[in-house]
Amino acid sequence: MVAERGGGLLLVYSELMSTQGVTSTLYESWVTNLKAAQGTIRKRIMGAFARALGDKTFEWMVQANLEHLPAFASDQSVALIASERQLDTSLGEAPSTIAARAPYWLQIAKFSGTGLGILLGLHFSGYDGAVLLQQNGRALSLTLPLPPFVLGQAWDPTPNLVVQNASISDAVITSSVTPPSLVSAGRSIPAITPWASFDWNTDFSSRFIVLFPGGLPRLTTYATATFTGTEDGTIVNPWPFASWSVPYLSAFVAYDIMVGIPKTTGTVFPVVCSADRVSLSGLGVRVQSSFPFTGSVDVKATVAPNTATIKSAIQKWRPAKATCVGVYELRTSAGACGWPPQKVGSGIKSGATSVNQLLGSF
Amino acid sequence: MAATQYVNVNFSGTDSQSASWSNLGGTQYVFAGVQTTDGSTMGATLTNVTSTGATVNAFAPFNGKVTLEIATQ
Repeated sequence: MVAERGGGLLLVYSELMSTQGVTSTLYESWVTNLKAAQGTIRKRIMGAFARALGDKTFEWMVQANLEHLPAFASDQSVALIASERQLDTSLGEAPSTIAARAPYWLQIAKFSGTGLGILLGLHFSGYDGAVLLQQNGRALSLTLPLPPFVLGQAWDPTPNLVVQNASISDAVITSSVTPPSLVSAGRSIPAITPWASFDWNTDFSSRFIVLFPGGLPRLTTYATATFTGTEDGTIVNPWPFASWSVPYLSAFVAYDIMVGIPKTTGTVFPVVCSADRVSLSGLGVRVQSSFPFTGSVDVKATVAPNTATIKSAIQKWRPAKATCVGVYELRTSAGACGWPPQKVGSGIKSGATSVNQLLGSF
Repeated sequence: MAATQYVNVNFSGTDSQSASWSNLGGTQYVFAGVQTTDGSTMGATLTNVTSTGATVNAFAPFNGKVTLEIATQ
């Protein structure tokens, strides 16, 4: 009897396993419709067991079998696949978008060690608008949108790469490393040559800077902490958590927190509030008060791009031989180091307030 | 639509003053800075907060001003 039942189970399962995607209530139905004498309650109990042990197991097995395929995988698996394939992802990027890109990881990876690769890495990390300015006078940028990722089709972003000349030096640039001497003419860059002058070292040209001509966005987000008169920072009555109106993810960091004026109800107390920075995250922050009160207090966070993410993307995609002299954002059109193209001398132009250095040389 | 407005509230030996502002709509967030004429430190709280105003209560009577920043996301 037991053997027959076991055989029946195997038969049913072999049928189920060959039917991917079919709603798996077949096993439950089979159990509850056995001809053996079963009361209503027994049918319900057996049906529940069958569903939990059989049908659910089947559903999990089917899903488990699909988890390695980005298009069918759960969000958690897509995140793991993205990490495994070293895909750059941007702030709040939808898992479906990452999943669409995941099968193309090798096609993307082949741009590693190129200027286009750096721009792609920054783009997929959420930092658009970059200009990669090479010391040899070539300025690389990316036009958007990039080609879509369509399964079965090749993906080629090379037409999106724009290569322009940097500024043209109107004078000979003499090398500070190999200057003219009595026995040598030294090394120099001829006049009317596109060139990005980071310094006077013209001998080592495997260098570049990354500029964001339009600047990078700053986000201001707000939150309100509500006090009910009991919060005192203990485990029983922890400080209230203020949730940002616009959450931010790890691609950004809060660099300025401002706690507002306490808004009290009832008796007026001289209460002072402050942010508990230990609790600070992209979701919010806890606010502590000088003593319990009833009311609320607003908090403001100014959030900036995470330069560590930018640095990581550049380090990952640049040629091993190349040095990034720095990452700058240009707040105005004044330009720096030969960008936008114009006749310039050398170095960052005057009016340094228009140039904000995000990262130094690395 | 993000918007911000600033309101100055003067204190002349008093510890409570009313402040009013234009309703910016949506959720309004209020921040404040206190400036005393003698450079001392002073705190303040708000009571009777509405969408267009509030009462500013200093911890003690003082001379100076409280600048309120009212902002919306």
